[in-house]
Amino acid sequence: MKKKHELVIIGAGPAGLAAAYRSSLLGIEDIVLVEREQFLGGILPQCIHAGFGLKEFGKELTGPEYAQIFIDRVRERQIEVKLDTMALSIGRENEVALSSKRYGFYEIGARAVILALGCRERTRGAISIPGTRPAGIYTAGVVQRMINMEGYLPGKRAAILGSGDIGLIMARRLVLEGCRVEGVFELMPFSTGLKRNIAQCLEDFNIPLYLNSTVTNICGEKRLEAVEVTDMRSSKKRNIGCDTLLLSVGLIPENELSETCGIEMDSSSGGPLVDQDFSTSREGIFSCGNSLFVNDLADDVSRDAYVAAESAVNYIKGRKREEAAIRITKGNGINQVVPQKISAQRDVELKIRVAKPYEKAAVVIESIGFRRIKKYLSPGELVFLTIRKRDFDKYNLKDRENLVLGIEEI
Amino acid sequence: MREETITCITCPAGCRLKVSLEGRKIVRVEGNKCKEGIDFATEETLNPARILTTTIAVESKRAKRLAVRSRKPVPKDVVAEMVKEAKKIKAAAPVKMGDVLAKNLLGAGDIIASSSIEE
Repeated sequence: MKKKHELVIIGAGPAGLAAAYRSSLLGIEDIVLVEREQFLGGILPQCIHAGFGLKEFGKELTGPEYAQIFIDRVRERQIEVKLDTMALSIGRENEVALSSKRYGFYEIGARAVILALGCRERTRGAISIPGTRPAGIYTAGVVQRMINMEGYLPGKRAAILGSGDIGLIMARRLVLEGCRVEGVFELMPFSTGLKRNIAQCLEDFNIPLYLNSTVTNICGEKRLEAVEVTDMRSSKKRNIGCDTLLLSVGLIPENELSETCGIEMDSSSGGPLVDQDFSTSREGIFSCGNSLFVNDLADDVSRDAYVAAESAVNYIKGRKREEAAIRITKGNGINQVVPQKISAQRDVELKIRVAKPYEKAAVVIESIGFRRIKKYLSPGELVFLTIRKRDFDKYNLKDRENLVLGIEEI
Repeated sequence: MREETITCITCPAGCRLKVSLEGRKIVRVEGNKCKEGIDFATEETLNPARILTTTIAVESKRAKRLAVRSRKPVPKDVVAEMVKEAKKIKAAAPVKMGDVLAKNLLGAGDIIASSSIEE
């Protein structure tokens, strides 16, 4: 008979590690942390740049340092770790099917499961760039791994499509390693990266950022020789000679596991539909980190993981919780929002991804007259909106009410 | 008098600041929407500093590269030179996060390990 653990956490990146640590602190002793890589930390070990930890630790750390602190904590608390192990499915009673080279296929039981599955990068196929299929086209994260972990440079002259944060970080990294960077090309009229990265990764190294521009053709037989870039306003095309193209065109929450075990999903966030406790539609299964919602900062991922951990612990200990009967859905100007269900019986923090930049705007829920002014909104920077219980009390909400969150430009 | 244009990174507004300098004295800051912009402009034009990060070769059973950083922010204009110089550092497992790998490299600061490698 397979062993039933109290808590199984799938994924040992910034979310899974933080969830394991917090659950252990809250008195759960029988935790299993499952990780498909051969090391802990998820993507952090390859994110060698600084900028991590400001919220969580009050000091500026690199990705590997941020990971190491949590890895040391997990080791100190003697949490069981299964490396090189892939979670394949979750059964009706939360039994988790695993596979590993060492132990083959097997199952472990779990009272509660936390999904901390992370996200993956959009590829060339996902955005359908026409042209030939030469070598030299990578997602930015793959190049990051090549340079920072494997120790080789993929090319000598690079172009970067998409101004997401990894693309900006890699522009700087490539230059420091002796590769010429022709420019960063962004389809939208604004960058989707953090301001700090625009300044310190591009401006510091005089790397040009071309807005309203995208790659419309790929040239080269064996190896990439050039990309054709089109200016979306003038339709003017030009060729940029390069042997390497990096794609930094968005992240997708990785949820094959969540979907195949029947968890209700939110098509706009790409993650499970959750309540304020990050509880999914399946009892005893919780979601956090970038598989729930793509964040900007690892610190925010860990903070979510604490919420999921606390909820899982409450569930394991059989504590009652109020029903989250109020729906939150996205309206005008908003691309994503989590959580999607709330009880409105306590303070709640909503995370919102806006659709375009606003100098000054109000986040509104028209049906109840809620309005909160926010400045300098941008799709590249997550908006945090705390609504207090006393505010909800004023509105006299009906059960099952659907609150549509929108943006009103001021 | 000279002018520098920089992006303020204090908040998501990302103001473009035009800073006028007379030698090492700031004469005027324009384009800032708040007071923090002035402090940022002062620091960024007079003492711009960055945390240096790179990787170096490491002798280890598991890892090929070791992530390293400068312990403190170093002057912006020596970062590229320091990254080159850091490549010459030799490291071997076991390494612990925070181990000093080069003391006061190029006179700008210590280079320390960013993570631990056990073997």
